[in-house]
Amino acid sequence: MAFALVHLSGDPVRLMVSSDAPPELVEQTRHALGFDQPLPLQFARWIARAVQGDLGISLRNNRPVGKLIAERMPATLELTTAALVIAVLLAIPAGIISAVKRGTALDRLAMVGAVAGQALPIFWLALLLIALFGVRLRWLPVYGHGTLAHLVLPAVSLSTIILGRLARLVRSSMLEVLAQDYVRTARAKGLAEPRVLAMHALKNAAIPVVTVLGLQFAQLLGGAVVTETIFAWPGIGRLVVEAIFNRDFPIVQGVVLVVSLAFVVVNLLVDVAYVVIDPRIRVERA
Amino acid sequence: MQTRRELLKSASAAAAVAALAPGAVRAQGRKPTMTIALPSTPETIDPHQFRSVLSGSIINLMGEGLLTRDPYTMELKPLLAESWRNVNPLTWEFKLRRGVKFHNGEELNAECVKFTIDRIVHSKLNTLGKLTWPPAFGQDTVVVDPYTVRFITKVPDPMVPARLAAESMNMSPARGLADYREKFVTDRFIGTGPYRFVEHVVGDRVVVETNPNYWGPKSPTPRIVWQVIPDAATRVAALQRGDVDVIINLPLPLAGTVESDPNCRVYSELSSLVHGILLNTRESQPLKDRRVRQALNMAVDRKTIIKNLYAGRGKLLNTGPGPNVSNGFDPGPYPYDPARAKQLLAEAGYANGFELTLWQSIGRWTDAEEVAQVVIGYWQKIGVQAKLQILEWAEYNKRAGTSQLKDAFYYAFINGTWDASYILQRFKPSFTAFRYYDATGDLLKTIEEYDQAFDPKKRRELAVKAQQGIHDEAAWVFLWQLDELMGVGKKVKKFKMRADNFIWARDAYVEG
Repeated sequence: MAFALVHLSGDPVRLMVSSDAPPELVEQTRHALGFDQPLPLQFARWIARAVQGDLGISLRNNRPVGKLIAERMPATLELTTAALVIAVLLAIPAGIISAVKRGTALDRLAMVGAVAGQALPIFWLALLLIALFGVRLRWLPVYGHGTLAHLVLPAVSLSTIILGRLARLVRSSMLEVLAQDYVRTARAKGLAEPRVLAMHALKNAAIPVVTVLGLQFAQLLGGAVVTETIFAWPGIGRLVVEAIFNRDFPIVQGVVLVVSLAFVVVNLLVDVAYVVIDPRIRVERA
Repeated sequence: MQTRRELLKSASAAAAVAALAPGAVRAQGRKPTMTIALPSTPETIDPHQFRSVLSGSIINLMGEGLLTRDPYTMELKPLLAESWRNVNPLTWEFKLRRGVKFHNGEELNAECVKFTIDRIVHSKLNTLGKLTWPPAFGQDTVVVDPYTVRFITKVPDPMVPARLAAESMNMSPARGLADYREKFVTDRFIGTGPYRFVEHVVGDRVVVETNPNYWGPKSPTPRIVWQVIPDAATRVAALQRGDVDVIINLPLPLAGTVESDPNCRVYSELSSLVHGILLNTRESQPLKDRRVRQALNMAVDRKTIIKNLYAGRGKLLNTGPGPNVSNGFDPGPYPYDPARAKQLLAEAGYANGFELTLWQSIGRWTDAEEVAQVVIGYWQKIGVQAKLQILEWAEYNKRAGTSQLKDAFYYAFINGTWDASYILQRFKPSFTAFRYYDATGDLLKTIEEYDQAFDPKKRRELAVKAQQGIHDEAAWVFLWQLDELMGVGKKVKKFKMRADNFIWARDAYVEG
């Protein structure tokens, strides 16, 4: 589907040759690239090569797409992982506290913060962070990739995409679990409250949270496109944005393929994680 | 007996010597690295493939052509050629500079020139040079001796030196790039320029450093980093922090932020892009009448538009080529005179006006949609009912180039050879792209004669006549040239954007 969409979106040859190129040069270029072939044929050729690991050559800079993606993927994974870690580290305590202190000012404060974080446009937050920590206080660099300092602003901005939803989810599943009999039993046994929360409640509340985390991974990748553009982070998000502007079909197709694969793999890992978290979940042997 | 001042002097000299080796440049109070922030990834580092002036600006640090243009006066200057002469109307001879080495150690000779021109003009590659020196000239490169080369064309071409001065005509080593005659280079750059290639991290940066074996004057900055920062606000923040020294493409709304920062300033230079509304005089009935086209010109108050939409940062354009190109000429503006415009329309038989379509693309030019709407408003006042049609750039450009847009459309042209002929040739019926107005009669004869005139005085006369003719014919609704804005740190010296929009970074440095 992505293949059809990008090919419908415009003529890459026109963007490759200069704006005032004579028609002969345009046709010559189109033929050399195979864009004068019927679309289904172009698609079949692309699939045939893709299964062999050959994602084609970028139209704009003549580099192998596979190599371009491989160069840029680590930076995106670094950013999304950092954002995920920040979101989890903030959301779980916030969710637990508001569940335990349900109805208090603390709960309301945490949840207002969560909803606000979810509603805040990421580019706006990113620009605020740049203006404050980059320009005014001069604490952190505003662009680029390399050191831990470079990671802070983009990762914090990106984490807000999932932070709010995650915190609210932790809260609601904790509330549900805390009302269960076994939690009452655990407390009745005289276990210390932190131990009850960590061992009995949180572990059981984790299943829906982990599921959502897997699904949220796609959102993080989407958010990475914006974050990478603002902070000049050299990941695949920016690669694909530039490729779309330039109608660089092979890159767009390659990134869509790789990202879809990544999404499948992450959700597979989530399913595996269920087993670790909850031993009751097992595939029945026939 | 030494005075105190002398003592201090010799002490600081000693300190400078002590700091030599890696810190030699620092001793002169200059930063060893200058960072220039770009809005988008340079599309290539191939010496002949580039399309954008951004890639070209990076490439022209590492590569050199036979000729160049002075960054301040735009006059033709020898570079890898020491001299040249016109043997006869079909033959140009160039004497090469001796002892010039490419970055790979290969010596520049006539074979390299032949290899380069063949790669640009006669290969299958989609090169920019095919536009600045079209293969239609039938050019042949003849090696006379190792340091003499002749270009023989099938058509008389007085423009050969100007074409060879274009940044798309970088000389390449015949042996070093032998395998790349028919394919583009993506991972190295072998030129003769003052800087050599260090790395190109696609989508992130291009790094160059000074070439220790350069034949000419040394550049003051040892290392230049071209850093991609797509977001304009982030570019400005990076400049304010001093992380980058220059930012390319400063949007007007952010100019105030740069101006108010004590460490930065706004750098502006008139862009070479000529903006106009092209009129399809071949298919649109009312537009075939010159009086109608003149009326459309007089109806638009361009000064007010420049003042209000572009903060006054621009100049009126009054014929096809810009007045600052070689043999350019300003015939003076059409006055803003709606009453006279209405009168002209009535004389042409359109007292009640007529309808037309104005095409525009978005995302290509600053405030393009706003300009189109304002122009439509002005035309309405003289009774011309224009309907706005907006297209996405690739499709727009395709239709525009293949002469498919009816009535009127907005466009901006660069000038690839920095000569009036680059625009004037478009009005010849034999030009294949953008055919909307065909010059006829005396005007056509003048343009054709200009294309083949060798005598500078005669060329000037013909160019002036042709540009006056295009103005009188009102072939387009002539609009403007706008300023190109950048931000630079106050410590940046000798930074220059050339009038053809190429960034001249080789002489620039940052005080440390």
